[in-house]
Amino acid sequence: MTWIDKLWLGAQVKWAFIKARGITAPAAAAYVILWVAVTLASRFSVSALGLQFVPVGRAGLDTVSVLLMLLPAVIVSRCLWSRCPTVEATRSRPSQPSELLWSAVLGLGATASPLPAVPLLHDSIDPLAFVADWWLLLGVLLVLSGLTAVPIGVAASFAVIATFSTPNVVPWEANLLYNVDLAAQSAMVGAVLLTAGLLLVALRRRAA
Amino acid sequence: MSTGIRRSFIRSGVALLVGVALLTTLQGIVTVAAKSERWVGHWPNSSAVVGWATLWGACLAAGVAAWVVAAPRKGQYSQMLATASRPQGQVYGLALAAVGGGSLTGYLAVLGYVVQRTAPHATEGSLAVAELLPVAAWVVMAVGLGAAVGKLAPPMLAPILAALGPYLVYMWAIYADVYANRTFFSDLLAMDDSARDYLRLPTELLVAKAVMWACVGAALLLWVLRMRRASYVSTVAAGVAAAAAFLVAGVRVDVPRAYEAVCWSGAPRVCVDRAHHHIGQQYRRHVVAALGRLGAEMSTGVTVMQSAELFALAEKFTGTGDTAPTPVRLVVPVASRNTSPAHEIDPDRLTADTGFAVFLAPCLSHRAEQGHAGTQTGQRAAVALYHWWLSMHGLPTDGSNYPGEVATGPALAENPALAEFARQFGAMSDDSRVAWLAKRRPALLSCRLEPLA
Repeated sequence: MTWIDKLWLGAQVKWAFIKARGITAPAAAAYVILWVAVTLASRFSVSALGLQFVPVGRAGLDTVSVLLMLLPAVIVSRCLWSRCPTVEATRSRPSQPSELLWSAVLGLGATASPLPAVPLLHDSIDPLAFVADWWLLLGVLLVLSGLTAVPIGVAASFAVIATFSTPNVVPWEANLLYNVDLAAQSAMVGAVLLTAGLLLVALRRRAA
Repeated sequence: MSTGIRRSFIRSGVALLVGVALLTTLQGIVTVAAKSERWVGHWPNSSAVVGWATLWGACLAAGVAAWVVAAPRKGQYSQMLATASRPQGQVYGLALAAVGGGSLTGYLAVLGYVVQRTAPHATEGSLAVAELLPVAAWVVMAVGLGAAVGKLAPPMLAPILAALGPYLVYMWAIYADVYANRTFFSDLLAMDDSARDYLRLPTELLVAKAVMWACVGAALLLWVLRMRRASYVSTVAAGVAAAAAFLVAGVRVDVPRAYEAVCWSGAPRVCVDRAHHHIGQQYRRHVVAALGRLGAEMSTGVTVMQSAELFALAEKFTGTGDTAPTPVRLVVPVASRNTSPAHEIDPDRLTADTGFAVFLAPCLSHRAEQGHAGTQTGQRAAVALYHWWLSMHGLPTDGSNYPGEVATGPALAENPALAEFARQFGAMSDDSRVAWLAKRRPALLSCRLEPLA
């Protein structure tokens, strides 16, 4: 076996590992399209509600955009788990290091993925609040699906958004999802949840 | 089907029903309770508020329905079902009925909660059953929408996509109305923000939209269950009902009786409109107790009313105005959270509003236009007395009691003489304070008070 063959084989093994986690062309395309949908929804609602009275970059996302963010979040959470755990269980090497590495790689990718969408946002929306909302949402979803299972995690994340979106339920001073003044705090909470969620998923190694 | 399989099939259906019912009830009660100031004690608003339980309730039902229908594709046994040649109704019927039944049970529980909170206080009317029809129709709509999404969408995303469906329908209607600058599309939903205090929605609209949503849901459901002919008929019926709903959407009907003034004689005389009759006694107790602290003289010949237009509107709509006019009218609105007039009393807000009516309202600019112009000193003294009123009741003095309130704390900090007046006034004994105010009642009510003159 030449070194080229070895390299080729290594690449194929890695590609198989990634594909087993659902990273396919349709999934990637869906992910990009959903992000475009999230940003377009934000433009539509801002112009509809006439928030031009708010200074540029000081408006938060609206509920439609936040709820639509759940769709890319579901894709990310699904891609953390292997589709064929029984096959992978036959590996001679321990699986934990590669699971941790995969969590880190996907986690970094997911963390940074709203950044290319920022230019598509309406001018009035605070980019930090936008990114913070995504971190918060994905963090909640990963922690909850790490503790239970992905479908329950998704339902519970929806419930969390619904709670924050219903008037008079969460005080405005504590509304991390919609209060732009709390964007920095919600980004911090989101980052903590995201890290905890990724670690939880990597350590559990449970099939979706 | 063997008995054992049938039993487990039924058991999972019952579990689905109970789970959906519990979650629907929980979210419904939280959503409805968060708006309590808009409906408690008032039947027309109480009947309409149940619709708000469908906002997230329909998302839940649609999500679960999609999960049920997408399960064979997700578990990769849809081929097996196809070879079993069982009708679709037998495969999904029980589970979808359980989702619908659970959702309906949940809404009934929310209705029970609403009735239990309103019934002890209500004085007018009764539950409006027509307002509940769209709620029932949204159960069918949610299950139908969920089933269709479960059939079409990628099985991994189907439940969440279906759960977003009803919310997107709701938001679409709201945005469409904002763009069109009129109330039309949001009238077609199962929930709306229109207060039923003095107006009601036409019964034709409620029935037409209920039929429309039920038929839309039934058409989708029947299509999923492969009953094409019935689905087609349902689609046509939905179209006819939609046409009827479009004709009456945006129409409001006046309720003349709601404008009628209801008064309790005494000093002060207290008046509310019939829509707020149920909190009248409580309102009266609060206002009388608050004014009582200023001495009997301050309440003599005074009518406290809930809105400045109370008698004018009563005259206009019911022909019964102010039968016994009094020299002084104080307007103390019933307000709670962001709602005014509200159906619940926020005691702190009412106390602040009473203080405003007594001390600050005489100095308002529109009174000046009517030839009641006060003096600059009178305005300052009024601010000082209002500051005392707030401090005595332990209320904040930073202008946070209601939107647009004058921040008396900072105003006094800028004017040491005024702060000293407020301090001296507060330091007086109750009797001397009452005597001081009684002597200066005309000056106070015309905003011409001289501080400690």
